[in-house]
Amino acid sequence: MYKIYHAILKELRLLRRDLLGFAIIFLMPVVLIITITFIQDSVENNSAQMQLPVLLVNLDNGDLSKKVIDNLEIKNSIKIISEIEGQPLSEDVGKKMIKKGTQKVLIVIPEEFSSFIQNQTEQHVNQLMSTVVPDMELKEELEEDNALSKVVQLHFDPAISGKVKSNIKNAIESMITDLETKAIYETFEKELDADLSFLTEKKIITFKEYSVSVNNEYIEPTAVQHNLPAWTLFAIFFIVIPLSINIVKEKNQGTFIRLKTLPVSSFHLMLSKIIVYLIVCMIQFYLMLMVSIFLFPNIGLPALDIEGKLIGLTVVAFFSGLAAIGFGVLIGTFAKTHEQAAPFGATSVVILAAIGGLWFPVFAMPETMQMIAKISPMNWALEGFYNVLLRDADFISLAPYLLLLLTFFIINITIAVAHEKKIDQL
Amino acid sequence: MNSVEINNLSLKYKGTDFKAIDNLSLTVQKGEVLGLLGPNGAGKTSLISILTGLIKPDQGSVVIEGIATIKDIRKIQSLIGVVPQEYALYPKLTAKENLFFFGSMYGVKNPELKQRINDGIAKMGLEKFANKQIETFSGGMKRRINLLAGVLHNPKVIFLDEPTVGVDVQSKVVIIDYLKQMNEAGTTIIYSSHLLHEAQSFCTRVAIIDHGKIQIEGPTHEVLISDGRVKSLEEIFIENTGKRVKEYV
Repeated sequence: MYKIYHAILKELRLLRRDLLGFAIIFLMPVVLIITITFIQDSVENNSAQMQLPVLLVNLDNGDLSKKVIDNLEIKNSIKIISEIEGQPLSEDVGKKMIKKGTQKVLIVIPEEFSSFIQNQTEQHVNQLMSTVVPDMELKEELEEDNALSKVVQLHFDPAISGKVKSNIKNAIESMITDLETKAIYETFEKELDADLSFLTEKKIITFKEYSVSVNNEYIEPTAVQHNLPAWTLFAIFFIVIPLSINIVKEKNQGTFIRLKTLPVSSFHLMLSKIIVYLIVCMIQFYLMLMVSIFLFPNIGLPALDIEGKLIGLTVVAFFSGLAAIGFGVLIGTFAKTHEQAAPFGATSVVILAAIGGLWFPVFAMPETMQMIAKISPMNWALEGFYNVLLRDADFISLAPYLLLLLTFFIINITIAVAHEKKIDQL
Repeated sequence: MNSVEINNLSLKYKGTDFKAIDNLSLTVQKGEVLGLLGPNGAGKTSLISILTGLIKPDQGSVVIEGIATIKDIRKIQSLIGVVPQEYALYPKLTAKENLFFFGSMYGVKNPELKQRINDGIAKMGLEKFANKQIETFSGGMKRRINLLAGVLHNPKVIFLDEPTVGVDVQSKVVIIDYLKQMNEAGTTIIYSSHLLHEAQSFCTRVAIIDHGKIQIEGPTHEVLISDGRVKSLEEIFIENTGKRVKEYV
């Protein structure tokens, strides 16, 4: 214990002497979480008020296209532009604006759109009625060419994100489906000479969103609750860089030779580094917690609520720190130079974060990547944090993640110690 | 009484046929100062590395203070002191902090450790710099602290690899005087150097190594006698290792 205590003291002194490095270790994660939460919170708040300008060219004179436009205008997220400088927007001008990127979306409603839908629905209703009403006169089918020309055109700026694109497509598709349904009911009313308005007045199925309940209260997760685990983990795993550099530096200094001749095992010396860097990880974690609890409400961000969750979060942070340190020790042991350790450490943490679902949800990844995510330590840690913070999980459901993180740490340290011994054999 | 016994030691570096140490045997008595001399690549550093437990030999055995290295290297490492050729110190730590760390790794506890550090620093003439970071030290000052870091636990045997290389005359004198005091107190010293004048005056015994083998070995005054007259160690060295410049890769 005496030797480990002095080895720990040495590591702490070395950390303290590098004031800039010391400041970076603690301040950068704080800056990171403030910046990211601030941006995400603003985006989430603004997206509710933000209006996407949409160019609209209506070549139809019927009622149904007007209904489409009315419905689009009702939507708060869309701002319809059908005139440019007081002149009605033409299809060509709209396409040019999209091509140039000055506008993002163009919707072109074709000529005779309303009458086409009307005719189509009448024809379908007519065909259906003929199966129940004998001797009913069938209407003539529309020509194929005429049918194809009634396509609603959607033009997008290639720079627009896939998510926005699919949101607009879905909105228009659902609107047209509603109009078609209404047209069908209206045609039925006409054919049957009956009032069927009750069918469209009320939706048969409605939906309501519920979050996980905590103490019988439904709690809506905030941007802070989503961000804290991801960016805390990112910061914790970045310990890989200073730790691996510390090990490489020691190897490249003469101190390594003296350390090898000391009556103390490599594991004991490694243990002192593990303890010191684990302390650093935990300070980082508590610093980020404090910022989220005390600073965020003062800068207009939602405060983090960790009532009853501090122990659970601390346990997950502790095991995450162990996993990160194990990885750092492994890199430091194998790397021969600072130039190998630093870029490899940084890049591998970014890759692990991406694989682990810190940036994009795992369920949205391709199947192969989802499989890889399941063996990523950052994913285990992230799930552990989410279980405590968002799912109010008990220790039993947390245990598998903690066990995986501990196993990852043990495997890394075992490989590192074995590699050290191999070097000793020369 | 034997302090160090080396029996039929051989070492080949992995993937090569080059024998760094070739069936080498040597005995060092307690209280002796043995000078390990030889040209670059002769096997001096390899031999010291084996003796201090840094690398394992392919063949042969080493017994230090009655303990075989193969049996209990940790026990031996607590009995020996190692002063590598490199500055084996943390540049960001002060002289005292470095000495505290290395002393405590040898198991020396306070207040004894504190006393030894203060005494050592005083003997090396570095009192004013005790709390300064090593990175601010000159080469000679670093060499003096480098030596102290390896001897704070009062080892029975000290292994020194070029302890005075690249230092000023004053630092050299301080280092050699300190070592002489330790030797007078009974410490066995095994010292490798290229500085033959220094070795001639400091060592009680010399061994000239080349091609991993001992070319000549014995008490310094006996080794210096050749062809019926007393020669300088440099002459003896050239006679045994040749004039040609040797390059080992």
